[in-house]
Amino acid sequence: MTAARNRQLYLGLIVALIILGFVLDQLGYLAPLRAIVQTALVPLQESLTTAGEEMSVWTRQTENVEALQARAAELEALNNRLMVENVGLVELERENEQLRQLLNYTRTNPQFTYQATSVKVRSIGVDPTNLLYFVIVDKGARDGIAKGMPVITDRGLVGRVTAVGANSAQVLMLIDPASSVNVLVQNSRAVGVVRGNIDGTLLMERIPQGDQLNPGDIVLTSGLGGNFPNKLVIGQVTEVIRRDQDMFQSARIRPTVDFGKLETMLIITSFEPVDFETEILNAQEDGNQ
Amino acid sequence: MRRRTAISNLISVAILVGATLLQTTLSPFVKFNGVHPDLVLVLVIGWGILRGPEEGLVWALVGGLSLDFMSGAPFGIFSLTMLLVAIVIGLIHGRTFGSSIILPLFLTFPLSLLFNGVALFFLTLLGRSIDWTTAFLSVLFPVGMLNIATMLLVFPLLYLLDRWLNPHPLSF
Repeated sequence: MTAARNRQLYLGLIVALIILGFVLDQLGYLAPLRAIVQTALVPLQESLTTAGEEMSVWTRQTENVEALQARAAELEALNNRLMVENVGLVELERENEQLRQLLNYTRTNPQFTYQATSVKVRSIGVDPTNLLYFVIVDKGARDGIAKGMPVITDRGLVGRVTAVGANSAQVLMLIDPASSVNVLVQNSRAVGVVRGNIDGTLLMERIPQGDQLNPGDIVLTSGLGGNFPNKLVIGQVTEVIRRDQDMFQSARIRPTVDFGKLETMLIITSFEPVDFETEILNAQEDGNQ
Repeated sequence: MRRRTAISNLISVAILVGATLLQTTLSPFVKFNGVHPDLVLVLVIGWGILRGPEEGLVWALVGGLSLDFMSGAPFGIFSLTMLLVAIVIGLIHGRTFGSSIILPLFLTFPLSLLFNGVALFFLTLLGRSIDWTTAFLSVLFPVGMLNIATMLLVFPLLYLLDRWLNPHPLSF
């Protein structure tokens, strides 16, 4: 009887401590501890990831079917690269047109030239559960990485940095249900929001009913909201979901990035995401003074 | 006795932290249809069935904390859900016969559903929009099946570990 009671007491105490941990985490007090734990585990993660990659390469070399898969992936990558290049060219054409019109303005304002600075990072781990889509990379605050910075590959947008340790950082992928990005469709310039799904797919929502969308259309970041730079490739429309009774239409998007095989990525360190909450608070404080 | 308990606890920490590290680093290479086995959960279920509620709770706490520290989820979600799994195992433990592999195999699927379902419910409460039908079909169900297959490999190893740590006759 006493043993059972003690056990219940211990259990209650443990649950209370976990809830306290949750509250501290939500208030941001647990972030340094988490960063220390993750930093301490980085060498082990790097070794295990390297071992996994080597094993994976070895297995691929020995099996003929896997070689064909690699070839298919290569062709897919080439296709994606060409698509991204094409997107770049079309965007350049549009930009060229706009720049012609803005030539006088740019001549008188040379300080607005844009140069992206980026840090090359390597994936050393993913979220241990099947419910979240995070990737851990091998560079952190020491390399100038900060929370909110966008992460890309040669194929397009991967996500953004959500937590930073001394020598590691956590990246929330686009396909996570907590992720949302303001986007536009390249051809029709229709705007919307791309959200992740638990099954690792992407859905574009809040597209006005009047806008025209077709399978194959390319979806880019719009830059609205200030969380991501504009014109980063996200994917291609595969299916348009349009119902007359709905206010908005939606579309399924096939991402250009292969989120299952992330190895090397770039973090754009020159981009500073806009923190609206801080801006509003500052504006309110200025107004009060 | 105390020394044995300390060694047993140290081993549990090493095994569960190691399993979490394997899940974070090697899971992209062992994905089946987009999901990977929950090795930490399988270990907690297996050990809870072999050793009973008290040791099951210790393993659940260590495993849950280890997942919480390595995951991007708000702290505490996986510790709480893992404790819930250990409590359910504790309720079943002692009411069934022996510790053959049938019981863990039978329990793995419902306990995987419980673990991932409750964790997902907490995540929904914290603002993630989840389509439950998609979640069941593309994550919860396949992960449960994959965990059964993992249990088939892991339980014999846990049984050997148990015999090494606590020498006593067990039916297997």
